[in-house]
Amino acid sequence: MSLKKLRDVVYTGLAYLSLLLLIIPLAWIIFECIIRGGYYIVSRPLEFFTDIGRPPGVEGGGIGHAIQGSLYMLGLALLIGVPTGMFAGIYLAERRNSPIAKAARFVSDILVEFPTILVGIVTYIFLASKVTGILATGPAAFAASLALALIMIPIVARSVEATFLTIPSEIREGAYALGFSSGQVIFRILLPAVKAGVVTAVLIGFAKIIGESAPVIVSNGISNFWFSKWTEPAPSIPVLIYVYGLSPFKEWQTQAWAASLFLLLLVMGVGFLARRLTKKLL
Amino acid sequence: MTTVRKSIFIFLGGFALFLALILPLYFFGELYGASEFFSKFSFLDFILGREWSLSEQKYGALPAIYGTLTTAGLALLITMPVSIAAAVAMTELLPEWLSEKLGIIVDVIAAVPSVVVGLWGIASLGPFLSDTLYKFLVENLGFIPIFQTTTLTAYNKLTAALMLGYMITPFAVSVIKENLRLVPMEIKEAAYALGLTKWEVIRITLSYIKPGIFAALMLALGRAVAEAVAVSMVIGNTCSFSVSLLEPACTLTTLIINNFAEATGIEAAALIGLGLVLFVISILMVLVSRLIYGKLLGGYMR
Repeated sequence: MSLKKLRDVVYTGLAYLSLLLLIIPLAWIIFECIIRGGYYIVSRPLEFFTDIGRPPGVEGGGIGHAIQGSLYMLGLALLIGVPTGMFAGIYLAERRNSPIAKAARFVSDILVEFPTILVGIVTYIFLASKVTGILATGPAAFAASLALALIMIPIVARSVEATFLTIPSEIREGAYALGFSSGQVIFRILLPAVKAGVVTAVLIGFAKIIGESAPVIVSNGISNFWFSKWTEPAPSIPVLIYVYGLSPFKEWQTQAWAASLFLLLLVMGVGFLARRLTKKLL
Repeated sequence: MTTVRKSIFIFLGGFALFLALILPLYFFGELYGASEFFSKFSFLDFILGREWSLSEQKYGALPAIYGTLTTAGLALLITMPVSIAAAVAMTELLPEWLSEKLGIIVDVIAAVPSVVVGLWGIASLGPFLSDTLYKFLVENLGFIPIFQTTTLTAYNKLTAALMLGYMITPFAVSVIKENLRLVPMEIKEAAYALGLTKWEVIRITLSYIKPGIFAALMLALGRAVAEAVAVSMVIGNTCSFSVSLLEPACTLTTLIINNFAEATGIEAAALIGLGLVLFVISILMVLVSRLIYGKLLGGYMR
């Protein structure tokens, strides 16, 4: 074997090694979630999904409160984020060269990479802070919801824009030629045509915010009780993992792994759905 | 009729305008929140202050900036070879179907919530590394300052950097992959026609997309700087200027996440000040990488 060939073999080996370095930690994470948390879910499924957490040192308990809190928080975030992101995205696609569209596109490209923890700080400052906030209630669930909505808006907008741009302009021209108004063209003709794409866009945005913990911790604080009021801290699955994982209590740590397994499956499920829809689209 | 046509775009444009205003809103919010702090402390003292201590009312951002830059920089050094090699393997070496499957795995890695990675770091990776790699480093290479430590713990800058490196690799891989796909076939064909081996050709394609790789790594670095929860779980959370990678540290994001929920008054404002520093660093990184990408749009990325 010549030196050149040998070098080729070595480089090829290193390239495959890098793939292993990518896959092994993921497999390790999933494995640990199953080993350390899976049995807890299997041994008491009902309790795990519906019950509240126990004080440290007490056997049993579940993450029902965190699931409930996450549902509330994500629900409000979707309620704000989906229409805003979708309408902005449609504008970006249909009024491509307007100055507003250009500015919004530039900003959303930055926002996609923006530290999410800062988003939580900002909603806290404007809404919840006792000193500077409009509503001045202290750490609150709605501040976290708004932060999550703000995180997902640019992602949804850019994906909706991309789907709308796949519609051939002949369809628009034809519809306008028939005398439809812009509103009818957009909501009756274009939007139904790219339904799957819009749903995918929402799923991508949703997948991004399900697992967010930093903005929630800074704007909502930490709670281990049932969701009570929008102006109070609410529990959520990622924050529960954070608190339980850092705690020195064995029971809590086990539940942190179990919650991680649940969250991981949720995120992977949403990603799977999004991929399926994209494939159907093509 | 024309008014109807216009009005829907005014409606939609309102949302787009809101989107465009989010970033200025963030900046204004950060300034507003930190104003209480900067009215009492000078900005220069804040940036160059070497100590962060609540009891002494000392708010210096330098140790956090140092921690952020060292861990993120180290994470970048780890990501660089791995992401380039993985992207090359996926686009140039493996068959299409397999690299598609791997692409899905890369997407899954990117989607793993950071708090789950942090849990893995604190309960699995950290203890594993301190029993194996760190022990080896301290015993055999302990004479080098970066591997010196008085008490070996599982939670230090190196653990944080390794974990961060893993978290940001998927983004770098996908962007580099995209760049590799855009290299014109003619270039590779010409290189093969000259009788070059596979890896010589790959080296040529890599040098061709150098700006793209740089932009990808800048984006990855931005993500590393922005990461909060996972880092705070494994970095040890003790501010210091130690050069040793095996010593704990703090970063901009970890100081915020650990203290913001209970902070009030001047401390909260100081933490928001740290956020302002983070804001500027990450905007700079994104802008630089966008600038390079914009330049690319005139080049091979048409």
